Amino acid sequence: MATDMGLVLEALKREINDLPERRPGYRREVLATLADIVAFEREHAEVKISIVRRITDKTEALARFVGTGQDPQ
Amino acid sequence: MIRFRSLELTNFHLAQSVKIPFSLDRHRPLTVIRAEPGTGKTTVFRAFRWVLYGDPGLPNDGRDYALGSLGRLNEVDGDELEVAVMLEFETDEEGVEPSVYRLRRSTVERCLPDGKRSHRSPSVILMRRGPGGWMPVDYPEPKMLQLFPPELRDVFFTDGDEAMRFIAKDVSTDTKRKRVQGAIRNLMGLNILDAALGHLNDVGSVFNREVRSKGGQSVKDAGAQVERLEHELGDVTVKESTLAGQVADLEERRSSARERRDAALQRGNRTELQRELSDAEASLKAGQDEEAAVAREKADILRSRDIAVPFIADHLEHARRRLHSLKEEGAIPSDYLPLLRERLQIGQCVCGASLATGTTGRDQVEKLLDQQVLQTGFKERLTRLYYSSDAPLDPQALTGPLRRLEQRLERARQQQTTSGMRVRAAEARMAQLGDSDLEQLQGQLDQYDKTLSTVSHQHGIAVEQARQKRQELDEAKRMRDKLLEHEAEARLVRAKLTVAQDLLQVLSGAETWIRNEKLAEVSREMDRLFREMIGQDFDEALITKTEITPDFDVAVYSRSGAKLDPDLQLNGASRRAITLAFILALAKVSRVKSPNVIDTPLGMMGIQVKQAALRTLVAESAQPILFLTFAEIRDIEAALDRYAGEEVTLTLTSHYPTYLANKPPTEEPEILVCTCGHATSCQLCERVFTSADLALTLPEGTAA
Repeated sequence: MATDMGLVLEALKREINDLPERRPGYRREVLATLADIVAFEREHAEVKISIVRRITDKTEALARFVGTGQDPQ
Repeated sequence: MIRFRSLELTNFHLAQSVKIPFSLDRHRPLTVIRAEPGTGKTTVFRAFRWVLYGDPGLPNDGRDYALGSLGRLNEVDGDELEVAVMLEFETDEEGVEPSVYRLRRSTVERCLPDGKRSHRSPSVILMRRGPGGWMPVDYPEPKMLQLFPPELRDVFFTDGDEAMRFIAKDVSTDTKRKRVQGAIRNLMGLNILDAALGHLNDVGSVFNREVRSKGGQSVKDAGAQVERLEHELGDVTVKESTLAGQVADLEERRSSARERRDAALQRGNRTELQRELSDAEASLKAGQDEEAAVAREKADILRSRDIAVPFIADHLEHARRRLHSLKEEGAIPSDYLPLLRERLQIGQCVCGASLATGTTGRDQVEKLLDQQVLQTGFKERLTRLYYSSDAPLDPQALTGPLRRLEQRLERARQQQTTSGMRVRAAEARMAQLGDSDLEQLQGQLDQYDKTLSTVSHQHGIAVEQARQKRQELDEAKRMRDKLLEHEAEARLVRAKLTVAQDLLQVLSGAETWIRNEKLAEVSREMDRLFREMIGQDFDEALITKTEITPDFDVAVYSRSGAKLDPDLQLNGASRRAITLAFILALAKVSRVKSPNVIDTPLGMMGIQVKQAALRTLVAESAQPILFLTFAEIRDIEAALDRYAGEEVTLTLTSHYPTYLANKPPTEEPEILVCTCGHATSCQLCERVFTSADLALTLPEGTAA
């Protein structure tokens, strides 16, 4: 009965193609980051977590990937 | 996917000890709970809702609601009774072993001195079956909220006799919209996407503060400006949202007051006056809406760049000449910057040298890039200006649309004048009736109109303020980003802002796509399922199309294309069919596979519609659990033989001897259950006669 995330992920995949490939593999990493953020939101709905901190960490990792090529995962 | 395994009631109403198994057979997924009116359908249905949602799942949110069996709880002060319901269910996700849960909600009901009853706040225990047996789940409420969101209560637990909450006639349009919207938003994940958008915006603000601490003075100033504007925009947005809420609330109250006044007029046999008043008010409202729409379109035109051109013609001409000379000198356009960026991305210089990370060549090119950014930034702007300055200005491009808007405005005002006069005339006739109730209701209505006008005006101002703030904020961000480009040390900060912006763009696009495309898909699917249920009768039917509007109305159209009022112009069977179609379409498009528990889904339907509705339910629902009377079962026996994996029959002992053939095992009124299916009966459930014997067979095509 709870939301099926398949639809959300499909919607994210559709939109990812509009982004520039800032570095080889960038779009793939953006999608992975967003999938993690959506998972955080679901977890946050069930158990209160430091959601902004976690999203900040994920976004910074992606930024390092853009800046230096460091693996964001 | 969630599937129910069994439901067990203890002292819940007249069900002292009842256990109902549900079909887990994927080829025969249907569970039929056969029960005549008054034998416990509603009891079991409410037990379902209570175990999952607690008191809010009961009528009137459980206030003054007696849960316990009358026979068990004596009307003596202090007498107590434990009431409990337990649901066993399983969840499975692709590639993961199914998890089996037991949810038990219980309370103690107590007799009060005045003979009334009250119950304590229910306690909830959720157990999960593991290798070592049943283990309690800590803090079960959040888990339950995630598995069974309250917004979906009416989607998965549907009472046919209320037929149905999404188009029910006893609630206002706004309430129905909220129900439809709430269900759609939740099932399609829009709530989660919105939450993520909000949190990512917070993260963006954190990064912007970082700009202030790490950038040079000008970057810091720009960052401070962005932060201030974000703060101000937040304030204005809250104000806008609060006022929007007040407007919606006032509209709801006004609508309710109008309905009460119209009802009072109809009671007084003044239908003609009521109709005239309603028509005139609707026409007045349409005129006002049109004027507001024209004002918005006009504002868009007045905000456009072209409108300023005649006022600054001399300056523009001077600038145009200067830009031409820059073009002649070759200063613009410039393609230098993109080339450098491309080489960096490729990792190789035009001369063939490596530009890989850490090489001297890459460091040099990056340094060169930083030096060129400022100059190229100006050049890019000049290039844009040059090309836009040559674009011919067509006076008709502005005057034509403005003139047409003026004409529309004139018509809208004329309509308001005419309708306003009709409203006043009707009100004057109403005042002459000397009905004090009517006068009071009309007074309320006038007051709501007045307040609404003031609040709507304030809301309009807030919307405009928010628009201006957003514009200022966008400009400030552009300025900050431009400045950041010149600070090599701020590259990481810039990357953070860039990726935060990218993430927001994708999330926002996904949210819009689901909201627009998927809502349209639910609408199409609902229409298809409705046609499937109505079947061959559709061509003869009054209804020719159903849809969900962008405002989340479930709309129904007649052969002539006119929108029908489901409250007044649809029969019970059609309302049932539309609601079932909406629920099944929503679950299908959002890919949610869950049980559908439906009380009396086939009531008031003709034979063919009933058969088609059952086929559709079985085909589209992951686990249909239907409460059916004997009359509903009639003519669908073959389908039940084919699809039903579990069947039980509910019997109320106090129906002996009027309806029951045999003396039950107890003389106390009690709901008992047996495993008899639609084709069998036992000593317990055998009846003298059934609703199927009494019901007249409805003619074909009754549904629509």
